Amino acid sequence: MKHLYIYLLLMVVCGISWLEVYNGVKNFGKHSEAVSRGFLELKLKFKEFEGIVAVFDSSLTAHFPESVDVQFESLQVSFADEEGDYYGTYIVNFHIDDPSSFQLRVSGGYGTALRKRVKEKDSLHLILSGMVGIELRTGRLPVFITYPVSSEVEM
Amino acid sequence: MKRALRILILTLVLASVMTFGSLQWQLENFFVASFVWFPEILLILVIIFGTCLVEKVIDLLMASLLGAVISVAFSLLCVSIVVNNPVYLRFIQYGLMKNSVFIAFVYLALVSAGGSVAVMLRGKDGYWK
Repeated sequence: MKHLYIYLLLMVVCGISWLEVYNGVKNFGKHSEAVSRGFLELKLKFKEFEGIVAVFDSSLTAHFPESVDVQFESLQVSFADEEGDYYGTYIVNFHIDDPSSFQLRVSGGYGTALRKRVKEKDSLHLILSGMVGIELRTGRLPVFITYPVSSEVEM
Repeated sequence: MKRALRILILTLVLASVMTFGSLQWQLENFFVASFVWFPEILLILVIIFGTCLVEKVIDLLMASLLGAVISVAFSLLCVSIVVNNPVYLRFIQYGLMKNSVFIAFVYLALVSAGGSVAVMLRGKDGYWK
């Protein structure tokens, strides 16, 4: 009889363990699917030169499964042209700026170089590449991950 | 035969709890259990009551060793099943394997030490001698 209770207890312990494993792993599966299939779209449009500062209207959109809650944290993006000239790296904090509408500003020496190059060539094709920090909530706690983004803009 | 069956049952129970513990410590953010030490509590329950099934310390050591090895395999298998992307799977597999082995080793030490004491305290035939 005592053995029966012990077997019963062990069955319960085993059942609880596998139930927890199933739930946890299922949540992780959802997360991995989001990481694998999701992507971020960075859109830029050149607005104007304010002196030596090039202003770009920008927006960042997340394309993830509907059940996944995405919270933008930060964006770090570098500007370069087709010839490989570098125009600086810029950071946006999405705790302050709205990811659906924010401005990227190429300023200082890089802004001067960019303005000079645009005047020389009439138009310039800029290539952007960088990383976006996002928080994905697919389980009990949000998970911070970095995602690569790239974009192009005509000036 | 009966002895082997009991060792097998204990092995499977230990493997289940160890897999739960191993995955919860590694994928903490995705597990809904509100108490992080829950797998260890289950493991202590198994040490206290599950060891009643075995009469010899060597049986317990065998069960715990097998359970630890199986738990590493289960952990990898569970994650491999749910992650469809081969690149992402490859990315996480190495870390998962390394951590699973480490956690399984800790659990093995815990169960071997605690279980051996429990079996020896009970004596060969009795339950709470």
